[in-house]
Amino acid sequence: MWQRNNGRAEEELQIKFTGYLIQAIRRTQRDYLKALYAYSNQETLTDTIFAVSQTLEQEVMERLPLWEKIESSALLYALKQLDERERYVFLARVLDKRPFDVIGVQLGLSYKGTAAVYYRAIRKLKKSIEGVNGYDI
Amino acid sequence: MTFEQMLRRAKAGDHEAITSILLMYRPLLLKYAVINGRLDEDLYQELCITLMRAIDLFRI
Repeated sequence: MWQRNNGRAEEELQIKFTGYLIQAIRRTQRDYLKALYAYSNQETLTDTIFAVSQTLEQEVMERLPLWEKIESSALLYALKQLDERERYVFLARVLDKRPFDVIGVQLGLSYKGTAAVYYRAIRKLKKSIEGVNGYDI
Repeated sequence: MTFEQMLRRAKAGDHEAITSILLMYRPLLLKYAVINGRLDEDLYQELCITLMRAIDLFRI
């Protein structure tokens, strides 16, 4: 077995070789750690994507049809009593926060006409909710 | 056998010489293969390959 460097002049070559080797090793180590770091970053990225997909799932759950989400059965009943146009105007106004003129353009109504439909719908809803609550369904 | 002889034989592809150089530098390689207090075996492999390449590339 080779003996360790004991300081003799002829082993200068070994000292040089060791220096050369250490430099090469440091470079390899640095590249390796860099690759490892990039890899772990990718891993975190995948994790985030996974997390995002989870929230997407939650979002889908949140986008259930309206009638699955309404907790008040009285409100649900009242909404069912409205006709199609009144319900559309009411939901567009309340949920999507669309202004009357936009809804009006979509339905072929004027601003005033849309507002009238909306307030009529509100009145109907109030009336039927009060009625339903009176019977306590 | 001096180090120079051994290195020349290793350069020529003498397996025995390569092995003894590898054994000689093993502690050094192990020292550099430790990351966060744990020995990274993949890095150790890489460093062994680096040593082989250093033997080939080193100019005497």
